[in-house]
Amino acid sequence: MAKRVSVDKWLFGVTLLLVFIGLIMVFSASAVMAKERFGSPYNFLFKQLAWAAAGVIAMVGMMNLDYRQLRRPAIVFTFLGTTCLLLIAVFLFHDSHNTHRWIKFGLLSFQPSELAKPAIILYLAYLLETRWQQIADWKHVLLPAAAPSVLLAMLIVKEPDLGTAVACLAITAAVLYVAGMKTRYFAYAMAASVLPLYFLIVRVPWRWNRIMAFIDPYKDPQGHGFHIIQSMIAVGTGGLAGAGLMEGKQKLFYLPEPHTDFIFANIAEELGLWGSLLIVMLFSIFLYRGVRVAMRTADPFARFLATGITAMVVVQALINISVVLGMMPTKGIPLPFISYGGSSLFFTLASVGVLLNITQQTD
Amino acid sequence: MDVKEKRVLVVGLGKSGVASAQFLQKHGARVSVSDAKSPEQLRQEIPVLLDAGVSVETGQHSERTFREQDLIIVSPGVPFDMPQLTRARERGVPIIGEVELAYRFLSGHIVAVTGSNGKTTTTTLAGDIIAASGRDTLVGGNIGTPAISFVGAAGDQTWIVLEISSFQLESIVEFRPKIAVVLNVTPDHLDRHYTFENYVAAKARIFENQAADDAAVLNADDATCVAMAASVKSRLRWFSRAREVERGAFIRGKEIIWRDGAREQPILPVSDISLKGAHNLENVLAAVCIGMLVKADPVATRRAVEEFRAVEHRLEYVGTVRGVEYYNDSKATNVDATIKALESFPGRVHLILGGKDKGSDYSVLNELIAQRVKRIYTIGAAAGKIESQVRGAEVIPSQTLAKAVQRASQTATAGEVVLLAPACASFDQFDSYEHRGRVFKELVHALAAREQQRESVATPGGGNNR
Repeated sequence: MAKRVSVDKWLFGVTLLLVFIGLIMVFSASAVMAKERFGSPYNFLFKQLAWAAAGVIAMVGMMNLDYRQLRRPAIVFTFLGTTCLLLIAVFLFHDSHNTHRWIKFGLLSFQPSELAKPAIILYLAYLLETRWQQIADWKHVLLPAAAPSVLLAMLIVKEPDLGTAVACLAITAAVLYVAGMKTRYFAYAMAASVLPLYFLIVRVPWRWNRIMAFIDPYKDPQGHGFHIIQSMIAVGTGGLAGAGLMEGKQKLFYLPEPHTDFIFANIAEELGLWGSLLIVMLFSIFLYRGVRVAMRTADPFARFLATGITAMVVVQALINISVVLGMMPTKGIPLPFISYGGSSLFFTLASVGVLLNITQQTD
Repeated sequence: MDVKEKRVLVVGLGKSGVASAQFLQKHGARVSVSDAKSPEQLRQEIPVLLDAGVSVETGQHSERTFREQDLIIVSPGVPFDMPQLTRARERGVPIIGEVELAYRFLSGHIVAVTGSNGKTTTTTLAGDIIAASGRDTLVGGNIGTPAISFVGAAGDQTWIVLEISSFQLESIVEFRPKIAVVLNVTPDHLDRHYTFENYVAAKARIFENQAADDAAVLNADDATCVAMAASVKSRLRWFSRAREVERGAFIRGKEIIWRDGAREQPILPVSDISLKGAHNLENVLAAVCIGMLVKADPVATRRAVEEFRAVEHRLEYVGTVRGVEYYNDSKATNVDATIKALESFPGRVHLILGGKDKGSDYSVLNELIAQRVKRIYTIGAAAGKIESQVRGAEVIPSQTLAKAVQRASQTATAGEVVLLAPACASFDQFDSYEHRGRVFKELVHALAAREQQRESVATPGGGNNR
């Protein structure tokens, strides 16, 4: 029988620590830019602080809500349906950076694609709870499991935000793998995605340029290669010990997006290898504790939820850090807990709240 | 019994297992099912259950599935002493059968019929008698509609007549029929119950929860039934072909009589019964007992018995020739139906298989063939395929039904069964399965007539033994 145990302190602590480091680094990376743009160095910090506070409240709230409440079909399908509608609605809003990623309510703006990740995870957990033992039955299990992920991913690709779409599919794959899907199906999925990827990457000039820049950034150092080169310069300059907090130079209008998708470059520059390794270690602990929760629980619904949430955090961290280090072509994926960005922080923290509740219910 | 939000496991995906799972899911339970069969064998059942929100384990009964359940429902085919169940029992998990589950939810009066042979006939006839008297009646159980499917349909005044197998009786707890009937007990299912004593004990459980205001019906001609009477606490009624009983139904002269102490009532002449065979006479007597106990109208009872005919082409008893019983199950046009037919016989079956192949895999019959079939006679277009797939019994290619019946009649000995349950469509040699069944019956009747002629020649002056 499931009994209540105390919350996983490691997960809880690691999460709060990452959020705290994030606040500091967002301030460090954005202060100069914020002063330049808004007249106050605290502009981004205060916004991020407000989101972090709301996120931690949401996390504690979800932590104290029995995750079993979430398996009600009314919740699962409302969540999925709303996400889908919002992802369609983004196209009605004005674009920003030539993309339709945001929905704005007055001062607040958020990205529905951040909602897509938890919505997919909840749906997968709900569906696979009763169907995972028949996972080989593609018609009645695999297809209904994967279809919403693919649909949402397609909407997200249309924004366009290929990175988040890939993250959504990677999370889906992780949950399906834990549910026991035969590995050959992954091969089929890979094979099936060759053609769409060809049209989405090779045939879209700016994405293809990113690939080319990834292969050889110095071919066009002032153009397509600029971003990666600046990022690598930042990481390299940091050395072992780093330049010191607030002391980074790259963020001073060399490195684009130093407070969002490339915040890890700033961390590497200011906190050095040791600081970067600390971040990597914190995410590793998160992975270990998350997998541990998934393995310990006897409830398949909890197992798939925990897998999905852990995968969501770790997959994004892995992609983000790889991009910053020039190990992967540039993708617009935030570093969870750390990057500036309200909706990502808020929904990630709320999801971790669910994970924390599951840790309390394990044998 | 409240199953809302309870975790319930249904073991075994037979008809009653599927019905139980759907019932429980509808009543708010969190249902899992587990069946050792492969997903391919359960192609029909799995999608229905998955779409209802039931977890489906196939191919095995894993220990993990049996953990953390609040209630386990076992199907009749599942060994009650398998290790997973034993461990669940040790953990204090209630384990019951579908009949017990149905009983907890059913309104109305239950009539339960068990026995080694004749259950279906007696149950169906008793249902007809009660319905003919204008009562609200439902008939089902082990064969036909599972009892659990009657929940909701049955009102307070409904009579629910259930055929109950000894396996189902193993898993009862509170099940208390208003009227409980044991038709006969002959050694059967010893593979499952290990000893005859266990088997008898399982059958006797039908009376276990009865009180003084319930009723029990037993066969006075069956020694095992007579021995069972000692444990009966309810009002006891007997039926007998051989002698007149104090309370119950019996035959005097050419008439069936119902006697309750001093009161006697003739029901109908034996000659008016359309069912043939001595065993069917017992079934009629038992059904009459049930009818009289529910205070059915005697005229309606008589009419019901007169009009009752064996269901044609479905395990229809055709006749006995030289001690060999012939059964027509021409309606068995697929492998599953043939499995059901074979399960109705304990063994020594001469099985006629074949016709137009429907792309079936006949090797799934092999287990039952090894257990229960003595010889197989193949006919029709599918013969070659069947011959290459079936194992476990001698196969005699016979081309036509006529040849198959002839060869079977030559090799079968007294006490054995010749069964037409061909597992195939009929269209290669016949118009329909009905046509095939009628041809089979004509062949058997012709065989019987020849046998009678031969006997009358062998014993001059005698011959008519009817």
